[in-house]
Amino acid sequence: MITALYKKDWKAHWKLLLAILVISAMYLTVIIFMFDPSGGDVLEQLAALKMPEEFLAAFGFTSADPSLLGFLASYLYGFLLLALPLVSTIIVANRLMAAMVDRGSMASILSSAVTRRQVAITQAAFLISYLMVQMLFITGAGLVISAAQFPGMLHQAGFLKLNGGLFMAHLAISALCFFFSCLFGETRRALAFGAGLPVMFLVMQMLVNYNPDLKALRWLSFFSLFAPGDFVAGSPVWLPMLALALIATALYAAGVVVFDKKDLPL
Amino acid sequence: MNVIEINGLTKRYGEKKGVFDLNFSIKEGEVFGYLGPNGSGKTTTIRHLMGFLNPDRGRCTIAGLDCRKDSAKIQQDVGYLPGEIAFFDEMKGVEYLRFMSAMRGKKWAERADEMLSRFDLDPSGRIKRMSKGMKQKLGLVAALMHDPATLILDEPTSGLDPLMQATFVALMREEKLRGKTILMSSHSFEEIEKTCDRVGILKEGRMQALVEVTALKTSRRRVYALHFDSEQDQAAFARQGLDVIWQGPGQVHVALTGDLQPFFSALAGSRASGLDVVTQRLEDVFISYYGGNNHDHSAV
Repeated sequence: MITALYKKDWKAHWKLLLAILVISAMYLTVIIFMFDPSGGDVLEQLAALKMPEEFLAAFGFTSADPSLLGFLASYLYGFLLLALPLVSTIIVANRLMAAMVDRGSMASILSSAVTRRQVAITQAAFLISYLMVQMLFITGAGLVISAAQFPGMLHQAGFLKLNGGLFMAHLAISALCFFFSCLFGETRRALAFGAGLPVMFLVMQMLVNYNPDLKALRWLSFFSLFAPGDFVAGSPVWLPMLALALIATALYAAGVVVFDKKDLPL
Repeated sequence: MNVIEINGLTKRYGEKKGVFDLNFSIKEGEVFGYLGPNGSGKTTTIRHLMGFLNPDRGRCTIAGLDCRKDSAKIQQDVGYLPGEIAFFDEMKGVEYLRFMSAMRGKKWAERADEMLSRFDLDPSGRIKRMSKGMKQKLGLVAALMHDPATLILDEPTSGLDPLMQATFVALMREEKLRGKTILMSSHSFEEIEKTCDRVGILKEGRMQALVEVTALKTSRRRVYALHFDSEQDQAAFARQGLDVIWQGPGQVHVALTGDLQPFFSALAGSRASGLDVVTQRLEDVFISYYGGNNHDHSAV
């Protein structure tokens, strides 16, 4: 871990983080305010908009559980909070490795008596902490806004677990983006895979939501290992969580090793 | 003692691209000029020295350490200037120097201020807004500011104005006196001639010659262009028995090696209206060193 590089990363990326946090806060507020504690289904309200149910389902807008937690799980954690942090992960993961090799600024870093392994580990640590800040913020904002609007109605332990699950899903995805960013020395290719695959996962998730007959597709996407409904129902989730942890560890480690070994066109 | 050693280094990118079975070494305190046309493999060699590339065959070492495996250790005492420097978009010049100092665990490198004043560089502005020459200076300051024992400089004077080139040459001489080992690449013979003890000439990835600069200087063929207003004067001059390599309307190119006396006497009796030095391609300099006359010299 190289402190100077880690600090520089924060300096270069805090603005994007701020933007993501502001947008997340906005979505959280809007969605939480839409909750109707009398048990009325928001789907009915949305039906007034005359949108087909399947279309709404694609975005995870299906409520099986009438609690506030169930409501948030389907309306926020089914799609929105998967997509939003993903945007920053894709951009930042690419900038941390591939873009620096592509542009040549990695030469400055590697000529200052640090090992490639140290550089890759520092960048991975930054990407993970970047994600962590977003998750902590989302969790905190969710708790605060819920408490302000519907005091005592949120099942807090369940909500914390749900956010833990979201973090694990994003961790695995960030590992994938990081791996491609290490593997390719060109932004173009790193993005084709590092953005293409996660976006494809997201689309698959939507397709599965839209048409449950396509369930088989689920197993091609990391996101299906994170099923918000299971957190609400209190069903055991340790197995998919373990799988996400293993995927994340393997891909981050592979990224570091690949970067350590490869030819750098600097 | 050899500081830099390159043994059988091979990296193939294609039939004539890359480097092929390179062998040379640079002694402590030596200034080595690495010459070759664009695409001849100079930068590829330097990338190996910096540990950026894995050789197909062979290896290179600096101070006895393997350039690929021990790059971090090696670079504690190496200053590097890339051929095409890329900085960080968001930074100001001073922030870049502070960052590069911090990467080496220092607040502000010990010679940073001295180098800034030597190169007359104000680093307070955004790097993005700097001219090519300013960026080059910033890169040089970053390469020199931690006072490394070995310098690896890829085309150090590109983008510098003549005054700064002179500053650079003077600085390299001082660094040599301070015992630094220097490898610098260039495609200009003139630049290498002023600073280096020895040159290696590279072509299509293969080392063509390793020569002491003093030897190269004395045997170096120079080409002069003489201008004439009248055809008779031109014809009279051309008959003087000098090595005329090309003639055109109003112009004669003569090649000279070593003793300039015959040229001066021919000149004294002629009615030339002008005299220019013809800048030669590297290949021509090299060919003249080896006395290769089987090449076509006409295209100057």
